[in-house]
Amino acid sequence: MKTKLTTQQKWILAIIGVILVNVAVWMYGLSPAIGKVEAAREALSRREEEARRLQQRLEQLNAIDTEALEEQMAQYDVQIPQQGLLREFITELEAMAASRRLELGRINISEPSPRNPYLAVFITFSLKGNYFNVMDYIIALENHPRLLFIDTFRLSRQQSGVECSIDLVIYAEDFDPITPHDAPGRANPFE
Amino acid sequence: MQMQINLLPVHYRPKPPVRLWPVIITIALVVNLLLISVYWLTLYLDLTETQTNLRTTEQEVANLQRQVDEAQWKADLELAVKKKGDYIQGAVDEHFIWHPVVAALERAMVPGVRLDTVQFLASGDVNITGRTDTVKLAADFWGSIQAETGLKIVRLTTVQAESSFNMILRGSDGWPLEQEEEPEEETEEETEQGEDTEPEEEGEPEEEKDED
Repeated sequence: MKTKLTTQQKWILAIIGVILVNVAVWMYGLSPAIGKVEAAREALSRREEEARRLQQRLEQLNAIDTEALEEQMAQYDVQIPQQGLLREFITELEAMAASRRLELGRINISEPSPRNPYLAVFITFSLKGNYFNVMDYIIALENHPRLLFIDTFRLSRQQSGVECSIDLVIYAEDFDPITPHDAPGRANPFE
Repeated sequence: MQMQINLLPVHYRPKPPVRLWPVIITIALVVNLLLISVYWLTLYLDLTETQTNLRTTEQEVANLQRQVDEAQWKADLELAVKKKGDYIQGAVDEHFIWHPVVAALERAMVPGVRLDTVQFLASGDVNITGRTDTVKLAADFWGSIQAETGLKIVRLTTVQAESSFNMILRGSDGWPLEQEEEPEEETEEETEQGEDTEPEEEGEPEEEKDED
């Protein structure tokens, strides 16, 4: 038996068909496209946020007064030099003593020991001479441009003047490279 | 069964009434189609614009990142300066500066008392041994040294008239003297006195002075 659809039924079928087409267009066309747009907007938003953050960071970095910092670092490098300059330092100890007419005794120099992140060397030595000259030496040491601390020192009265033993500590980033010296040399070192 | 037959020519026959709902449905379908198309187009344009903006922003981010990387040394320098400064300050705080203590000892000396040894220890304490004519003089020295140093704890451990005395200055909690700054300029009185004497050479202090 052949059934013939009425016009009304045809229209209803057409509407259902259009609705189905709409659903299909939504599911396979519009919804993924909206997803892509949303993802692109999200990515754009993240990038813009990152750009703002980087811009702020750049402004912070550009606001740093590097000249002042370099000047400050140069001062700190005098206090804690990159190279230990031990040879120069003990030479200076001797020169300081000589200029104050003090007798400089044996100088003991310790192995560099770690003082994170730097290294420290302990130097022990003694001086003999006039009290005022010894005190002048102590003051000169404590006002030394290098970061230098007198850990302990002992003053004792002698027949003439005083004897002073000093334990001090100096710091550097590395004590191993000693400043080179161009020696004249000698054929017989024991002669 | 009756059957109605209209024999009028076609153009005289009554036309069937126009039904409204199919028209509305048709319009609705067309509008629906148009809306979907417009929305699709809008989405396409939006996506294109967003992707263009994204590419531009990515280039901007890459450019900024490069600039930040290039300027990063400034932050590294700042950090290095801060770390070194903090380290130096920490070391300064941990250690004692002794010459103000010696100066305080000099100011605290009383006649009839003289020192044999003074030992300045890393802990901050100072051990003093010396000689005194009387116990009173040692006691006076005890009082003057506390007054001059500002230390809370100063111990006189042994004392004997016309003999020796021992004293301990407990400076491990810090020396109040360390806060004092060295005068940078000579006082007026010292300057006036100095006018009559020849200036000493730098680094060549007077060799012989009375130590007592």
